[in-house]
Amino acid sequence: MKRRSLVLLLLVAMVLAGLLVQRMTVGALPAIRPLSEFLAWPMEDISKEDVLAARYWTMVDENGRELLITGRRIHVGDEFITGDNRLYRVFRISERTAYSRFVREVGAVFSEQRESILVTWLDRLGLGDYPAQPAAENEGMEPAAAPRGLIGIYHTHNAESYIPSDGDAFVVPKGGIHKVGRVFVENLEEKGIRVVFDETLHLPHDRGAYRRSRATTERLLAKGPDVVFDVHRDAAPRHVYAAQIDGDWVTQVKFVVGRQNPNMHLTRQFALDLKRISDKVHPNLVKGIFMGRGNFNQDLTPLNLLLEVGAHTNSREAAKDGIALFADAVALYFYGPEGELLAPAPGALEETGNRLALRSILFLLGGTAAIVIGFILLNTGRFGSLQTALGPWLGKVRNRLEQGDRSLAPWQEKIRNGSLSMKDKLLQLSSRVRRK
Amino acid sequence: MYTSNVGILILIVVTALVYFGFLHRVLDRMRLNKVEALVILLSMLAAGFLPNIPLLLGLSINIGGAIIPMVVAIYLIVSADEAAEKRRALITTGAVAVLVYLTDKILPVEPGALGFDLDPLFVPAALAAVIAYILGRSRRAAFVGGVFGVILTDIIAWVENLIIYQLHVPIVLGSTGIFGAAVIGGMGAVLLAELVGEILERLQGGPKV
Repeated sequence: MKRRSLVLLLLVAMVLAGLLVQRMTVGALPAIRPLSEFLAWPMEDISKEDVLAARYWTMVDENGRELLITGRRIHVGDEFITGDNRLYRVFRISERTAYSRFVREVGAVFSEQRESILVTWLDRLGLGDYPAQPAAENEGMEPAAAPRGLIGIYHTHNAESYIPSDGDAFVVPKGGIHKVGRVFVENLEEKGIRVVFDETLHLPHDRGAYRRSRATTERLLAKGPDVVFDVHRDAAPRHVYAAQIDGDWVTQVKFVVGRQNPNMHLTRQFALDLKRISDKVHPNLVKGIFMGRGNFNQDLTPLNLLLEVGAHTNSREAAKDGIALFADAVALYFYGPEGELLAPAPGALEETGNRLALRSILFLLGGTAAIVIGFILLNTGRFGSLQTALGPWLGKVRNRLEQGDRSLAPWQEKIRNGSLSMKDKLLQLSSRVRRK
Repeated sequence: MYTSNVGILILIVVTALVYFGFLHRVLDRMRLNKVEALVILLSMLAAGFLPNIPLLLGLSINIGGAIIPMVVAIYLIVSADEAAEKRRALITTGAVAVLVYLTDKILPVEPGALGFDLDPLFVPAALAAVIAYILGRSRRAAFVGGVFGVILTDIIAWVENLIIYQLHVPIVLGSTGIFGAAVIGGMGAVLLAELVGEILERLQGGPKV
């Protein structure tokens, strides 16, 4: 009985420690909800019936101002970058309303919160965020004489459709979304860009579609594209995605980045870069960037972005017009102004990519090391055994640390002797040459 | 590929190496020695690049992502000493297939529900680990359940397309090879069962001898 209590106590302590660590690193303590609220949560939140009955999830700010209406379920901790680059984080969910707080304005680089201990340490190690090089400095770059690259496009949810044009929110096997994808392809091809449009079906229209579309993503990646887009439509009222751009009413495009994904930092920065370019070309076309739960096969490559082109209540024609404008931003981002064949993207990913990748690598290796040490600890059951296992290696490290830069002395000596003898030889050689 | 960025390339390589490291560790625990585990791992990796074998009406199978993991799983069932162990593996497989299918249908199409909801890619691994552990702390049952659970769910989806929509929708069993849902299901289940199992057993004062 005593042992059982101890186990329970340890489990509670572990949970509390986990929450504390999260508080320290992320800065957002998840709200603890009563069990009744948990049980009352609707399971089927974006079913066909819900979509037709117009039951959505709404994200509001501190003043109750509506930020986002979507068919995607919103959770505590989810984040959204609005069209005017303001980052909001959800702190409470009630019914289908997500209450969020304004975190900060997002610049060209998505930097983590300053209060995070991890980020502070990364900064100390020289891996922190620095302002991106302004786009203007890239303008003098030599144009690459390469043909325009390759872009992959597919639809995980083939049946998604637009009610005003297609008559239903879901049309099996190929819904209106395929026609929107086709327009995206045509507009990119008009700009001289090669596109692979994979219309493979991933039916039935259920949760497993993302598992099945993994094969499509991989097949596209095997062709070596610069980027892969998974094109969807959202479920929301008509006005949410409607925007007037260059005098025409079109639907906006929203980006979705999965948080259960080791490439999340890079995908998020890529989304931010692409939005920045799109904001310049067609202001207000990109609705924002939603960072929610899920993976969306973005673990296979960091440059795989999920797009929501309008909602089921919008007309397919408006969605087509929206995606056609978005093709301008994609072409500019990846291949520079039309006709000039500029190679690199003028985005911050060029400058920040290495650092973000290094950060992801450090997290990955750190996590792996923690798991390996955890396993050793568990299998031996004692810290003493860990010391035995790591003893020889720790001994070497300790010796090296104690010696400090003295351990480099023999090398310094060798280099000095080598350079002296080299100098002598050179002097002899020069005197010989002079004599001749 | 957008490879002008060295960091992104290194990240992809390091992620793959860490993933392979975990896979090797899992195979190593499956009645295989280190060399056998490495050979199986490499053959899964290599065979993942071979073309899929068409079976019938849109259904096909990947060698690295389905056939080799299934052979390993069958070997584990056949070589199990006790009848109870074989039974556990089969029950786990059935339960995982049913539960994954149910979560596919009941939970929202987009990932994210009920607080701790996982992406559909990771659900089979989590379910197989929990069921196999509850049934008898069995790592082998976790592996078998994870692999066969995903493959059965894909077969059910294929049948559903045939019957309900009367469509030959292409379904690849074990698609994406070593990075596919079946391999992640099996291997992830063993790692989870091992991690959770070890923690619980240690907290309870270690195995009673």
